[in-house]
Amino acid sequence: MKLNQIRCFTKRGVELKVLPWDSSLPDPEPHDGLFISNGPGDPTTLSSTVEQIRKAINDAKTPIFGICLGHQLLSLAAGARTEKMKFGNRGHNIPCTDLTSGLCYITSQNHGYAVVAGSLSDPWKEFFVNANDGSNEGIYHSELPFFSVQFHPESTPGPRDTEFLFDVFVDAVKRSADVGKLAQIVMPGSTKPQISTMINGDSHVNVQKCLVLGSGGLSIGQAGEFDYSGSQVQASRALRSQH
Amino acid sequence: MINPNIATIQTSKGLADKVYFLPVTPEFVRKVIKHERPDSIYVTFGGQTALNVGIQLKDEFEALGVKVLGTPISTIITTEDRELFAQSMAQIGEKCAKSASAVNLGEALAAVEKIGYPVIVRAAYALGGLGSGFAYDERDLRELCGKGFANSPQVLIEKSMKGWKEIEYEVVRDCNGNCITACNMEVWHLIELDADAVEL
Repeated sequence: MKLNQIRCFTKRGVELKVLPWDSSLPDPEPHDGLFISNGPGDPTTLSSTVEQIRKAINDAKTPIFGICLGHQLLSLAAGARTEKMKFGNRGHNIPCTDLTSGLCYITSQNHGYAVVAGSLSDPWKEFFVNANDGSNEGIYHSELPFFSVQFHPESTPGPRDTEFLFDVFVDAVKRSADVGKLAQIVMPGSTKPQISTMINGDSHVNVQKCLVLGSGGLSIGQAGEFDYSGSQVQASRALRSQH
Repeated sequence: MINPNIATIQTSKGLADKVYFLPVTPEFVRKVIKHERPDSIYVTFGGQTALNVGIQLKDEFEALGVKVLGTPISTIITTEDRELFAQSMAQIGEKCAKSASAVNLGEALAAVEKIGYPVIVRAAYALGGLGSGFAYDERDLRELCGKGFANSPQVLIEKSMKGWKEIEYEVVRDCNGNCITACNMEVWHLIELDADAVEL
């Protein structure tokens, strides 16, 4: 387990009880959420842990959040398969796209096994996907607040761009505890109203013939980097690649 | 592609499928659209010239069956009209240098009363700094306004930022709202805004 996962919770005012990998769930002490941390090795060797997580899913008493190995264990408990990757994903510049919003985040990763997205079945869905190699980066339950990500939102090292996932989980935990019934997670949309309205109007267009206006002759001293910076060269290539 | 410049990379072989070596003016652009019947148009790859044509033709595109791709014309107008731009920035709480727009010399003089010398006079809708320059006193202002109003219907009088450093970012956004910085540039000392390059 990475210490910063603990810090990410405690700085949000959450009290934690850390249990070993072979504990039986649910823990008898009253609690409002279940978090499954990262760890070493092949997830399929931890069949006893997967069994406990499966119990927690079936009991459906608290929201569940998993990271890295925790994500793989949750996926196995959900009935999916995992496989060994050729080299794994290692680094903290790995772009992952949130399939629910289309937003892409730069993440920190270090794993050699991955969940096979094709082995997921309803009500479980693919959450994040690796924008470089298409590998699975997260799952979520479409009705209940159970979700997990392959990357490390707690950073340390790496970018803090996805730390908001802790807020998403803690918010679901709070709402579920307040209402006395499981409340689904809420992912933040774009916070800038101008951008949201632009996005709604700016979906993919399907065009066949595009006219590009150039600039004409340029005089010495006139700014002209648009012309020979290759921007139009790139535009031609980009427009071509769409077809 | 419409671009009469045979010497530029834009018009090189193998890039656009067809190049019209015609002036980028509303008259010729309209002709090409009627002849080629494209379903879409880009006005953002031709500098100020193409932007101006896009603005002039903005009410005709729909009737001609052409969809404007990339930055919408309304956004272009907001960035071009110095007044609208300053208002837009205020809306999102971003600071702008103290400025005022003017459509004649009288308004320009009134603006400087409030802002104070030295100021920079910038012509709106102008190509690459044309008709712009620093004014240290009323004589400079009258001269610059003369040039500015000859090239453009509107000038912007702005508090001089001489001595400040400028850093420019080129940001690309996709339809989902993902933004990346394609590049950033450091502009050395804000003294090169004058296209005449007399001030150094």
